[in-house]
Amino acid sequence: LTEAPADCQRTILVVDDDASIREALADLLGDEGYRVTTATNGAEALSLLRPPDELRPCVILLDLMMPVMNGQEFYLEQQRDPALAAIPIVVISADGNVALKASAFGGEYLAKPVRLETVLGVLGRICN
Amino acid sequence: VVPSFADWCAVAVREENSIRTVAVAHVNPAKVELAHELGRRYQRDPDARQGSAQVIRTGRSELYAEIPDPLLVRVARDEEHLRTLRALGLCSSLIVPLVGRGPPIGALTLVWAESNHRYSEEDVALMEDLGRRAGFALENARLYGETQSAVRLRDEFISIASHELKTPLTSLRLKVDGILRVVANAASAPIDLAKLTARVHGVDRQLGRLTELVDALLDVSRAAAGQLQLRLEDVDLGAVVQAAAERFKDDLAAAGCSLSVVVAGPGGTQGPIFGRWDRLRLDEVITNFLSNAIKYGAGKPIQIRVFASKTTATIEIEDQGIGISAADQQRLFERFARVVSPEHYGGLGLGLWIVKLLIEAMGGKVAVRSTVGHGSVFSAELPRQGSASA
Repeated sequence: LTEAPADCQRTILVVDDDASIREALADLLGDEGYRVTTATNGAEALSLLRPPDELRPCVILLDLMMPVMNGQEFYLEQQRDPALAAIPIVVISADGNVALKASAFGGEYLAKPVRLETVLGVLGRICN
Repeated sequence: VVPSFADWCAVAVREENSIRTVAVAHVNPAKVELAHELGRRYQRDPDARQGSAQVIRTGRSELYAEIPDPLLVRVARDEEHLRTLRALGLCSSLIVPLVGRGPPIGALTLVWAESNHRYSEEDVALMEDLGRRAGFALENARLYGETQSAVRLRDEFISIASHELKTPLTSLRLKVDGILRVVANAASAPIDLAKLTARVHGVDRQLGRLTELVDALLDVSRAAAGQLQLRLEDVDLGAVVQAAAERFKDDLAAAGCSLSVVVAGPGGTQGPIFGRWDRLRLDEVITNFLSNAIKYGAGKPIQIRVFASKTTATIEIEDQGIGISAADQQRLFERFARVVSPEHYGGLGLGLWIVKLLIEAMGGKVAVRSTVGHGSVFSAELPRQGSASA
């Protein structure tokens, strides 16, 4: 598993088009001392990561099926950008084929509906 | 069949408004190509009084023991066609219907040319039998194809439906886990009641979403079985629209859409527009139209117009969103007709199909006009007959 950038300060970027999922993750991860920033699709996430914001999260929690720019498209863009390629990705998606998807992203893949403990476990391993 | 029973063999099948040649055989591939070329250049007349069109229509075989020159002249479309036909040296032909379980689905055309044989009455029975076998085979292939695509459609629907169900399930799961954590920590820390309350409200909202989704799925299977029940009563269409608009206030604000509602009775008069309709189903229709307008026209104004004559009432919802191409407009109201990829826009792809069923069940009709990049206008026109107040 990839490691989080040293200066990430427990920042998590949540990318999901569903407002209730963004809100739940922000609420619950916030409770555990993470700083959560959210984006509703891949394009919004990219603009947060690029100047002027240049957000550097420890992890990006990424949904796959989203409007405007989906998770796969975001992942390809991120990998192409040397400034962003090292940020670990954890995919959280309702897309069925877990094993296949995990290998495609070279990282963690969590199937929806995901348990809070599972998310916290993965974040703990990457961020601490 | 070629070369034992014919020099040329062609299979033509009936499609909606035309007859299409699906296979041509000849020992010489160059001649097969020539036949395809002729087929492309001279479209078959589905109303022709002789040849495969007539055989398909009547189910009766046609035997041309000899093909005299005047027959070629009659069949040829122009001079060049006639020259080509003459050059082929066609001398005898037999056309038999392809018959499956119902009326003829096509025709088998057999032609003797360069080998100089002739068809006779004896060949007709033999070839008609071949036509029946081929007809059954063709029909089975077609049924198999239809079944396959129905199964594909169903699988696709199940995968979209499960994705849609998992979204509220995910936030429900997370919120419940969050509540369990608050409760588990109760021994060591005081319970944060405000936080707990907010999470329980979140659970409540997601349960509402799940219920709506399951209801929509049930509606689909009821509608598919033709079991939609209507509860007709005197309804004011303007009031239903206003109530739906009010309910969407938060969604509209979140999407950055302004909404204007214009209601006008016959001759531009103010006041209610009554008809004998199903209030809940009307609400479902407006909800569907409105959520589509928000989904595909986010950030742009939306307008709802309600107007009526003495006999009809119409709802129109106009967005300034991505719009729909002419080809997609054709299939927009079909079942599972999602014209944008599920990757980019969620949803069951059933909304407009249900809208159409509901409006038609109330005796009305739905329509769409749209320009790609400029937006869409969806409309539903309902009859006002039967209403005491109309």
